[in-house]
Amino acid sequence: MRGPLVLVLVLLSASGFALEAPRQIPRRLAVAVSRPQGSKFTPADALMIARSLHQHLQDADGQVVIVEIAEMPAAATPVEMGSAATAAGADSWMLLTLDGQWTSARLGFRADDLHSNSTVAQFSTTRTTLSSPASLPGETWADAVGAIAGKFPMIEVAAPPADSEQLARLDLTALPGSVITGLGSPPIRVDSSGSAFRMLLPEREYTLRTSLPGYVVVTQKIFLSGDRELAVQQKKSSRWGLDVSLSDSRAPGMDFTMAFPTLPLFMRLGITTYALALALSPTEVFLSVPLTNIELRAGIYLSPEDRFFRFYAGLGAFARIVHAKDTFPMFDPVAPLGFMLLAGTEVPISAQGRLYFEYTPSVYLTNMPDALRAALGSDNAPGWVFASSEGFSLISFRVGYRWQL
Amino acid sequence: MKKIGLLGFIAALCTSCLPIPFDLAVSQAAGTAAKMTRDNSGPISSNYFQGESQRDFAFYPQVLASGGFDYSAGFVTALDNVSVNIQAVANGSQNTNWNQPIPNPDPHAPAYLGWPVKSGTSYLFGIVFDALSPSSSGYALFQATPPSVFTSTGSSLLSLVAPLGFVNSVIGASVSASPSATFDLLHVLAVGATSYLEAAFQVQSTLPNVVISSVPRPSVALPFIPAGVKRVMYFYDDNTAADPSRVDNRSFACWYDASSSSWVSYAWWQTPTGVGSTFSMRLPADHRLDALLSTGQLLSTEDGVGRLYDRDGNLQATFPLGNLTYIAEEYVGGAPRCYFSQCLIYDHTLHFNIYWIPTDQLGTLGN
Repeated sequence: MRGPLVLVLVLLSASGFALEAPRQIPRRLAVAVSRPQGSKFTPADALMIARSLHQHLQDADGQVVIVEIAEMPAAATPVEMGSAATAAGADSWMLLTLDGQWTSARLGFRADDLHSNSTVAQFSTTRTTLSSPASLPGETWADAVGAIAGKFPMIEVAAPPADSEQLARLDLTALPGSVITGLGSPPIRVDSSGSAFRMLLPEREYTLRTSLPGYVVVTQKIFLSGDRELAVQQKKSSRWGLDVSLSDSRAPGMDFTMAFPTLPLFMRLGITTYALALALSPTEVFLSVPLTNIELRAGIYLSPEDRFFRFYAGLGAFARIVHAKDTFPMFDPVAPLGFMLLAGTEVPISAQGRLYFEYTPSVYLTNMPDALRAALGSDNAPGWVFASSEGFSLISFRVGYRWQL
Repeated sequence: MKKIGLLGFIAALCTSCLPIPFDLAVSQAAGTAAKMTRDNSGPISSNYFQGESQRDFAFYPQVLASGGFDYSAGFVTALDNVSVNIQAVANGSQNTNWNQPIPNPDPHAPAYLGWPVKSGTSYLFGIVFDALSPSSSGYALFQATPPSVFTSTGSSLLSLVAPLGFVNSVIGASVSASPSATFDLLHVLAVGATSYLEAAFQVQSTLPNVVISSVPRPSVALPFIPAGVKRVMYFYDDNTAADPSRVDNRSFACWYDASSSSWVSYAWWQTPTGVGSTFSMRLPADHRLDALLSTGQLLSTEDGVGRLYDRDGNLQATFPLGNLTYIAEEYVGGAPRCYFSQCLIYDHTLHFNIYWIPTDQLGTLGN
């Protein structure tokens, strides 16, 4: 008997059947919201409420992949929900019915498991303390989270017959030299032909980050259900930028920025003028002072460009030009030149635009420190310190908006 | 975004109380002062700052009989809405303060005229004009004797000219420096019923005999001066330098013409000087004339702009003064210099710098 048994095992092995333990894959739960007729909630309300629910479901059960789907019609049936969930690659769904209004919300929950073809949870409840999306605490969704807790266990699937076949192949196309992270260690470096690949566990979502000096960092999410090819679309970083700013909450300015393609460095040339400045006075809105600074700044970014807060630091120099009526423009005789430190951060507002905030302590070079002191007024100006040939301004800020051209 | 907004708000709060590090008047003064010589003993500090109601600060140092100034003593002057504020400074410390009321200040011309005069101590010769009535015009001699004694004495200019036959009539006066070590010259223009009187007085600071001599000149008809004018800027060029190109001696008057919103200036003279027929000409200068210099040039400091004219009123140079105040022309070593004071206010304290330039180089400030 031993001979035929060995033969069967050999044949099974040769035919590709695995002898390893089966593996488990996470469930994918499609979550949607619908508003019955008469609901006072707006589409924007529904979207923000759905986001809150998604977040709390995901935080509560890391083994369930939450899939967002669009708002369902008011009278969506379970069948329609099932279809929508399947189309989104999910194997289960939850529908939140949002009726009433903020101060007296009537919420309906239903969750179905398409895998077992069963309803996992179904209940209604009311909320009387809601006021806005920002006021939704975790407790709001405690019953929903609890209702599905543990109800969507991972699905056990048969393991592939060989190690290599347990994984899916992700073929990547990107610019040569690009570094791709988010696909396990070590980071992938795209070769000179512009291609790379990595074997990955399937049925998972991955967040790729592709960087290459001189190009905009690309961050994208993919769901890997099997072998797949992915071409990363990389866009050249713009070398030029335009800034508009407001210094010390009163003086408008404009700068042209030049970035260096392969280094996190920048150089800016611009002006800040007091010719049309905010007065910051109870009695005046604008004031006009015939002074314009020509400024040159250079610095280095300390954070990657795809960070929400991108910090930078640098140095700058400025020349103060007086352009009084009936006289030729000239360097300010009191303090013609100065230098500044930069410490700032940018925050992305749009694909091309960033808001920035800079702290710019400055030193004014002067042969007449007493004249510079007098120029600041009869009171001791806060934030100013004087030496024999310098005036230091320690409280100075700039806010602005930066466009990549 | 909330954090960004908060940061922006904090930044706005922090900077909303920050002044702009620039004052046009200070910068313009600095540019012009850089072409002059700065007295090394400055700045002279004074605690006389009383708030924003004061303006037009100046420092008049003590005049030395040997020529030039002693910067350790003198007078700080300022204007408020109702008076001239005067503070005596002696040996670098502040002494008594005093106010000379200005009953009806002229909205266009300086509310008062001040000249340092020669003294062994510190004197400022000041005249306050009343814009409505020449009859209330007067002069006051402000004296400080170190360390703290301050006296003032005054008598109407009328008392000076009354013995010369004119009453209730002084409309213009000026003091010019003299190479003499003992006196300076006060020139007065008074108006009578049908003609004008000019007279020169040698003045010194030794009380009580301020006027040590007078030199009246023949009365003349000056029909170009509008009737009813109560205030003119008046100067007399006695050609101390005996410059042949400045013969004959000239008189100058300048007044504000409301109809054209500008200043009108005339010059007149007799040929031969002082005894012949009277001739006159309107000068092309249309700014207020504030001083007649020993070179025969006329200086305007109206609206913080220095304008130098020749004796015919032709503009020779323009330069920004900012907060520089022309205070006097003085002889040092026989050579005349023009002196300016600059007031810088910080720490709630007045700080004065004194600058000078040889009078014959004043035009280079316009380069």
